[in-house]
Amino acid sequence: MKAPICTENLSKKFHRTVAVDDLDLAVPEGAIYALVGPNGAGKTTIIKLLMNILHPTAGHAEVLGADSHRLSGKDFCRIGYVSENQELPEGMTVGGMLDYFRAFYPQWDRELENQLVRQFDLPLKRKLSHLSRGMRMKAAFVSSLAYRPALIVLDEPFSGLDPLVRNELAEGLIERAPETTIFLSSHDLAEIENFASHVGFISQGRLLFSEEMSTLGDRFREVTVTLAAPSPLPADLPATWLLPQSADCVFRFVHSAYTEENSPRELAERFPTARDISFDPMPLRSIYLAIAKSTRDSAAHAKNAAAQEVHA
Amino acid sequence: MKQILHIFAKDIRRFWPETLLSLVILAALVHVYPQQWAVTYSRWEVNTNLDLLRKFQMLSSLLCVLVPVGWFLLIGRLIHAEALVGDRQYWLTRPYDWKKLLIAKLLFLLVFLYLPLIAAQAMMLIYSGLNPLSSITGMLFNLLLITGIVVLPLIAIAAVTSSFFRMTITLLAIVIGAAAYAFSASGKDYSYHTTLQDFLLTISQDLSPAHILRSSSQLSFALLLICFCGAAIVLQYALRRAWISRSILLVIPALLACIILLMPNAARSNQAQFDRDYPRLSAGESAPIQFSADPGTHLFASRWPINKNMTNVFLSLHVTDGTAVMVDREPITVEAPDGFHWSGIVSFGPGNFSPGLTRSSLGFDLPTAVYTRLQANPVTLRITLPMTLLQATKATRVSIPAPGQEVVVPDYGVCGFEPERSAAAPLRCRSAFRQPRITSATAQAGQVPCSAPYNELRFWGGQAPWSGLSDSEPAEFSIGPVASWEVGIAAPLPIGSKNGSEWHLCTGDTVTFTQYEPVRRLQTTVTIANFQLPVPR
Repeated sequence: MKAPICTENLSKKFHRTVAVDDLDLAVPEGAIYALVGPNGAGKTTIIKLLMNILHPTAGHAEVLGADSHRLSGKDFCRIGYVSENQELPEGMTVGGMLDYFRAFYPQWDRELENQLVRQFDLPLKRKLSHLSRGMRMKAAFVSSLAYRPALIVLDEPFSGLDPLVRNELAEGLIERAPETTIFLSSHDLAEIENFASHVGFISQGRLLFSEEMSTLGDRFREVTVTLAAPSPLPADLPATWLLPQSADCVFRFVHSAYTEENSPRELAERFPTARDISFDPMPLRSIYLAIAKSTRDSAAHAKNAAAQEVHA
Repeated sequence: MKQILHIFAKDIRRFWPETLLSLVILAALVHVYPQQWAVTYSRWEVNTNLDLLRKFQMLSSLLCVLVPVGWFLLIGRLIHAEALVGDRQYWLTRPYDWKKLLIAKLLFLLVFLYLPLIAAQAMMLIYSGLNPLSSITGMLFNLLLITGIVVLPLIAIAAVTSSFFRMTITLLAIVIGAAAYAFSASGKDYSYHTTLQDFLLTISQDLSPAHILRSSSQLSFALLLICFCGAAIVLQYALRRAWISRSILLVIPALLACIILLMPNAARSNQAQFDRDYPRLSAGESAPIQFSADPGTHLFASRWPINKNMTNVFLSLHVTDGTAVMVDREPITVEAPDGFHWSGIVSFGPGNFSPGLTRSSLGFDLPTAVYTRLQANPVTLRITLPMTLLQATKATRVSIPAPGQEVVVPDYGVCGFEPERSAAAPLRCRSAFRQPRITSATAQAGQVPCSAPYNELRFWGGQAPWSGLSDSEPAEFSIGPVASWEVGIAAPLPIGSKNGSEWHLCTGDTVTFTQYEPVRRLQTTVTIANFQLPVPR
């Protein structure tokens, strides 16, 4: 079966600014796919392109088998979309909004709606404009989950929420996970780590990698090499060794292509005088920071090199 | 259909305050508007009633402005409830069908804007003594004009703006820009107004949509707006690409400018265009109107601003029988023997020349510096008269009604006779949606005073008897459905009657309403040589 979301060479420019650059992405069915990246990386733009809110400059995307550019009303019966910046019908009460939306969805599950309202402790009679940010997000969640969409798209759903609300929302999502595909962008790596099955990292509009959380966790290790004597930073380090640092007798880096079979041997050969080599598993947050810093350093390095070349 | 009604019902629940406000304004208009015609005059109450009439007229005018303001609020809120500009609206990712959304919005406007308006106009007509059933064409045409000139532009502006605030700013910019253009293009001299109140009153009348539209084709203007605003609205709903819709809307002012430039207008055309619009008489053809200078000329005192003097020139003229002449704006050139010349526009013209009219006058403002330069020696005046010839088509005779009563003049309107209010325009008439075709009112005056003096119109010569419009469109753009006007009755004095003789028209005397059709346009030039500019009076 075709992936619920797949893009080919998807690009979006705002005047001269490239927001999304040649994006190829496939989100498998049933996945909880987390798109992570620094601010301004292009996450929200990608989601808006997928939801036909923005139109791509080049390339194309398919969402639930339909060209994203042609997503129409009836396609949204199968898609639930929640964004941190989304406007809601402010003049309505929570109950009024649910009543209003209910008629749009033939498959709306009233029982599920009631269950979610109870779970999130939503005040049905209160106007949306009088709700706190967390409550508004909960109301948006209920209105997007109650019709059991085949695809749930969430743009920074946990941003700015207190831990309790985050937890409630995450639990609500996890409960829906068996019957749907979830695609979300977030900065909250700790929350994502708990339930995401796949992760994609985007920087400056480009997708740096996209893989299952389990393989990502397997291939990233924080490596600490303790040498017998102080040594400068070794030259010609492999590209897969990120953020190399050397202090006294300790050499540290992030290994982005770690394998249990080869890596210990490879490092033992490279540092024959090492007194100790340790490989520590990394949480997603550390992996994210390592990639972000490494990408930033590489970009700065490339810029300096280009400037020197021009100067020369 | 279900989705349409669902959105419609939501909008009713959500926008009842705006809807109520709009309906209250309309109800107030229905209440106040017909009161204008209920005011009658008597010998002792004429000033009181004039004050009352002015109050009703002002209140009606205010409400006629407030009605579209209410619509603006209603349409803005209604369209922005599902805003089409922006990327954060909740409805973008819900199962909305844009066609159904658009239909739901139009249904709302049909129910809460058009139906109340139709009902209100019908009630205003009934309360004004006019029959709405005989004015259905006018009503539908007026609705077409209101749709093209008010409703669709408001929807289009709402559709291409992201918020009510932006819509308001955009609309203000459009109104100010259009007013500035109309002000500059009119070429009218507003400097003679002595008070700010006078100036504001005149300019508000000149810049009112009805006044601007009367000088051009309302229908073509409305159709142009319907096409372009309609296209912008549909595309915006279908594609949500604001730049495409905005580009379509920006084409409108450019096209309007082209249309205005191509339309006949004596005030603004260049010479070639002017000659095309108003052809000269061919060789051997006699003009339907002959002019010559009348010896009596005078110069009014310097006026505010003090650098202008108004010269009033009297003309002797003869109009061919059966023909009337409607004079558009007249260019004038004053030439001195040394070659110096000054060109301008006649600021006070005769308007229309009736059959049998033998004397008229026109006035022009001469800057004081030019006057001083030219005053010493005789000059040559060259006045070009672009005119529309009118042919009499139909005459209706009615008896003058008693004061406080009214008479129905077929194909003209309902008229009352109020000589105490105004001897110059004693007939106060009204009709549904537009003034009638160009019509003159004439009567045969007698020398015997009337039996009841308050039923009498006393006068010493002809008055301005013209009313009506030259176009044949079934309605004028207006929120209020009643066109009203005041008009004089021309009573040609018998040959040989002495100057200063008093003539009388009484209740029961016959007035003839003669309707005219425009036949052709032409221009003629009057040259008055050896004209001595008069000394200020």
